[in-house]
Amino acid sequence: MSPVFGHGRLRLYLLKLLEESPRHGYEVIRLLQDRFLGVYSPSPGTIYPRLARLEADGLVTHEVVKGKKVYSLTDKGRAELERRMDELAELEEEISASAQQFARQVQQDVRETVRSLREELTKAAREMRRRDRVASKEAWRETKERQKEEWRRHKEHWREQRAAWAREWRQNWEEAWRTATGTAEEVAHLKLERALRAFVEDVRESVGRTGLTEEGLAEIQAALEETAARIRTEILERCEE
Amino acid sequence: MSHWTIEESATLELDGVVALKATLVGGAINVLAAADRPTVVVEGVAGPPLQVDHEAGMLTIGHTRMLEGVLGWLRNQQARATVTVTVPPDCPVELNTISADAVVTGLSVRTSVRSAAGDVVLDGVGGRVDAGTVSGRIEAQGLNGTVSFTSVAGELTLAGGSIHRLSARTVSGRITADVALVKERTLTANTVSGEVALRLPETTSAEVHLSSATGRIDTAFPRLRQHDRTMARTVTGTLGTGEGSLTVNTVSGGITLLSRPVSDEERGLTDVPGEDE
Repeated sequence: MSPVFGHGRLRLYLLKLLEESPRHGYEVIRLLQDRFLGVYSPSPGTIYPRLARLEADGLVTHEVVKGKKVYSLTDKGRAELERRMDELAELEEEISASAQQFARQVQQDVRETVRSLREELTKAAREMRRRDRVASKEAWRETKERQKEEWRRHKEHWREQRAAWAREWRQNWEEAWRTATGTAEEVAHLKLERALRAFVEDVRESVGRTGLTEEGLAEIQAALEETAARIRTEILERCEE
Repeated sequence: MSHWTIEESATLELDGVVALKATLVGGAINVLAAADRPTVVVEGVAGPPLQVDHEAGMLTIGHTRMLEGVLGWLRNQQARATVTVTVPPDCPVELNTISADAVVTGLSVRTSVRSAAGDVVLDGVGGRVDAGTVSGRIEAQGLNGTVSFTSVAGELTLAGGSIHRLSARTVSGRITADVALVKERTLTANTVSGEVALRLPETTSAEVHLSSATGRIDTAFPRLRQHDRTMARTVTGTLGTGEGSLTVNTVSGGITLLSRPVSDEERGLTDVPGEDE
């Protein structure tokens, strides 16, 4: 802030304000602020002592209206103002110049704010875009992982299937060979094996269709044991007799 | 009626100005609000003298007569002046310039600035604000009210402010705004190739519609959804209770919608429903 008031000029300007009309202290402060568009904003601590000094010098006088001191110019004060007219004109000119200076300040201030806002938003946008990109990359990686897992499971499944088929194929082949070449007993054993396997597969398939609970499993186990016992006691022992 | 013809520089003090209209070719025009007696300060007049008229409260400044013949002012490159005017805050102001920069601060009723190549700076202006340029930048801070910005190639930037309604349009200029929407809560921005970057408080309430034919759209508000269609990419959704409206359309310019945390003071002022639960 440039010192608009030096060398007793504030005093001169106060006289001018009071010459326009009688005013109280606060009004004087507000007028100064208005006139200097906020560039110069005097504090009450500056203005009230000055008014008191002017009064002591006999240039102004005050009367109390509604509890406030209202200052007005005395004849002596008017004479001083008259005497310093040239100086006042000069001061007014500088005040106008300060309006221009104020406008330039505003321009500069707004430009700086606007520039920093643009930079800030550009940076924020870039940051957001980068985050989005990372997020989408992660999402992509995740789906890729999931797919890979899926494929691995599929492959495993097919490998098992192939192995199972191969086993089945070999057994069938061996059976066929033996039924064609083996003794009667061997053939009977083979037939038993086939019946057992068919039984196991049948049960497994049924369970696979309906699902299995703990109780179900216990019952099945009991049924199997009972069957095995009956095979032993009712069929095989009778055969031995 | 008073009339002045200013050849070099002058300072005028006037009694009562109810409206200001200034027309300038080059140089600068500053309009400041002050509760004081209105003043006009003219400096650096080059070319034809500046005319100042004060009639029935209507203050007219400018190379008015030159504008009567369009070719007149185009031919004359040297028509310059620096003009600073202080008027009461409630004075409607209309400024027209060719290449002169304009600065307006503190006015509260009606401000209209048109410029071809000059830059426009607005600070703490309220009421209805209307600024348009061909290639000049429009830069504003702390606006309060209904704002309309138009430019062909100039950049529009609005830093801070409480906006009832903002409408911004450019062809190739960038639009940047960091504002809070109040009252009517309407923000519309249209560009062809200009980028649009907006930042709003995270508590903003509005129906949002962002659309661009080929530009990318980024938004920091998680409640908005993106739809990619063959002809355009759009982002739509509802923020808060959806009481406002936020519409951005571009052809090739990208759109960025950012959010910012709300300060405690702002929260107290705007009183957003459902915020304190």
